[in-house]
Amino acid sequence: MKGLFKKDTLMVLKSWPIMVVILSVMLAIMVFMDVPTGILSFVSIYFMMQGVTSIITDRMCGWNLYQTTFPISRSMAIVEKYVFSLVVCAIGFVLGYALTMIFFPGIRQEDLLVSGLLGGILSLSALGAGIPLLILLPKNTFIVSIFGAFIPGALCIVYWSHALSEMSAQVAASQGQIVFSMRTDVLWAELGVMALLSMISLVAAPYCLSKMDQR
Amino acid sequence: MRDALNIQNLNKKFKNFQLNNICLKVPKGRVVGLIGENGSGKSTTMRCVLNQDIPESGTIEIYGRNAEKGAKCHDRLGVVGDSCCFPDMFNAKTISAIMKDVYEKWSPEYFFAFLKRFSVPEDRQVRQLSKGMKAKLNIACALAHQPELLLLDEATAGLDPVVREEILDLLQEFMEDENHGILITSHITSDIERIADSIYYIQDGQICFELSRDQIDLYGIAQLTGDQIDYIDPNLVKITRKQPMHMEALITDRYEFMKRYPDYAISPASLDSVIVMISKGEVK
Repeated sequence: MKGLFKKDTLMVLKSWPIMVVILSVMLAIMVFMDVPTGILSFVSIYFMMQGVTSIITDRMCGWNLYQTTFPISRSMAIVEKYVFSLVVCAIGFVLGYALTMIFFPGIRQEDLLVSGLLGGILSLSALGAGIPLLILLPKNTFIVSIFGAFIPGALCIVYWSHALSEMSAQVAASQGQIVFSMRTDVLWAELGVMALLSMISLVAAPYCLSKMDQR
Repeated sequence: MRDALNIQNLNKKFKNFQLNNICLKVPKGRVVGLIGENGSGKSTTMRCVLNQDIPESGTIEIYGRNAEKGAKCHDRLGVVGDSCCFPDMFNAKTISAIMKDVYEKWSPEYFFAFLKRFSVPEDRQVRQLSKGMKAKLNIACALAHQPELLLLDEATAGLDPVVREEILDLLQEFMEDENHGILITSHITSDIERIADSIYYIQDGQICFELSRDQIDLYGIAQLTGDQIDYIDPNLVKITRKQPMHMEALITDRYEFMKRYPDYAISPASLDSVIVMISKGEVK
């Protein structure tokens, strides 16, 4: 697994100029539009996707077939993708936090927490659903796979938005007696669900996918 | 003595194609060629050996170890395909750094010495290499971890004759070790003819026949009339084929044929002509 990890790391490192450009552009937009909560979540999701979408690069150049000739089992090669994506996402989290503190030092703790939780939910959604979809579906459906990877996370956010709407309605009806909150309890629960999804994916996907014909 | 590769009763079904009871052996110290038309099942057989396709039934053993039970046996394998599977942005140095952590016996000295011998630049990205250089890079990666069994799947396809010759010379050097083995698949019969000790012919997912080099060297194609066909010893005739103006006969021992029938025309059979005769001819 060490060799595969090194390969994915080198792939990400070699594309650092593009990453810097994209991060700079997005950072500039968020600073200009005064959206402090976007930085942490965007950076963590962006970094997670570097790991997940490395599968696309592998399939396009044929590396996914070539690595089956190594003395590394197919299931271990799939586990490596999960591990690599999590490591890269963790680096993204740290970087995103640092950038938020640099550009928005006065950000409210609750906003920072919401940003982190949203980033975590969508990142884990991409991890748990994205990796199996990208391995399983045909090459010409990568866009579908990436879209599908975010569906569980998007559903969580829709539910959270609904909870926020209910909270707003309750606050309005209570005439100030109830204080509005960002319903981070819902976000924490959803993060737990996404973490569970990712764990199930990590356990089941390598076993199931390695028993199927390599695409 | 264990074979380098032993495939027994391999079956694999797809929607429009299937492999039927493929039995194939690569003894140690031997080069085995697997030839067939496009779509005959050569690459599918290779994919099953490499666990890329999961067979329905059958066994595949690499030096006595079941290839389906684990990938550990792949450390004795070197695989060369028809295309370069490295990310475009990597160069030979990057690839060596990766392979060092993949294979226990990876030798950077051998790898770079090989590249130097065949004038493949170490610093140039894969996307900037020519097709011939990519093929040599593939072979360098396959050989640098000291494998014992080489699997070449259309490895010489699309290469110019000079590069193909270099690669075939390299394979002959590889075979100087009696424990080594090679399975080479190709539809370029001249490459197979040059180095293979035995040849399997696959068609529509089935092994049609197996021939040894000695057999092919003895074969001849005789141009005969209908009367002449009836006159000659049937034990010498393997297959006949009707042509517009004459009959062709695949003779099992051309030296014996020339001794007994010195007036009859016979020429050495190439692998191509043997395949055509066996595939399209009739048993006498």
